[in-house]
Amino acid sequence: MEHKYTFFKKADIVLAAGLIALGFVVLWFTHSAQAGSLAVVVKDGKTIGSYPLAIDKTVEIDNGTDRNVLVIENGSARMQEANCSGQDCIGFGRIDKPGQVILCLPHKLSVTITGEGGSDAISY
Amino acid sequence: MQYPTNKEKANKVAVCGVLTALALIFSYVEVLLPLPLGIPGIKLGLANIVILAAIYTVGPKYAFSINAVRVCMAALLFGSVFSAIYAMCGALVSFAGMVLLKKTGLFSPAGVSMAGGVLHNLGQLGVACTIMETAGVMYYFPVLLFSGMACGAGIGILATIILRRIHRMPA
Repeated sequence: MEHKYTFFKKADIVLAAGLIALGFVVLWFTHSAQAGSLAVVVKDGKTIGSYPLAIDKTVEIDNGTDRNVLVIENGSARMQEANCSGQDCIGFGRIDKPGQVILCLPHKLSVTITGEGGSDAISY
Repeated sequence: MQYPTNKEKANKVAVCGVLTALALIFSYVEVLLPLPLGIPGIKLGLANIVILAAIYTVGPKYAFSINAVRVCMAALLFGSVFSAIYAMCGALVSFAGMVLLKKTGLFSPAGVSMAGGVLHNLGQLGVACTIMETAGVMYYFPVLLFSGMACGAGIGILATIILRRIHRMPA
């Protein structure tokens, strides 16, 4: 029996184009906020703090079992330490633009950059 | 004539066993060799080569069993309870999407795989959203969408090459 498996069909191209478009739309929505100035820390669904990127600071998030150390310096935030097994949050690197995020899934912790408040809001 | 169908079924079950083992090996290779991109959450999805080949050869029903066994065993052997939830949801969403797209008959294996890659990441992101109780996770969506597309399409092309060879062999 002869089976023909083409590499790409017309529908594949349409699907790819649609997905790329969707990606850019989401990208545009999440990054169209004003210049980033706050690092918002959310743990277990609750906002536990927001820190201006303009001020260098080391934030320790420790509830006895889960420990994360967030470092804010030179206008960007990064996860320096975590006592989880994956260490993925450290892999996110430095974030400074609105919409960028650091996730620590085992600790249910996220750090998001928002453009609300801070020095940029004041200057308008 | 009970005999031929029984033999056929036995053949299929044997093939499924081999495919499951192969998929599990690919899962392991993936754990050993993570992509050196430094971006969390991105992986090739090597095991999906086997799952795709299974969907197109032994059919979706058998492919589902292969995938389910592979995900559970990989979670037990190389993962944690925590990663298992993510892996299972990603695999379920991705598999359902791939079978549906294949059924339309409009898409090539590479296209099906591309959608599978995106859906896998999307499923995991959905779990992250639920577990972390924050929609902020969706900010990571574009990264996972584009990486899922690229990896999925690449894996799909490999699977296409393999499928062509499989069908050239005598049954």
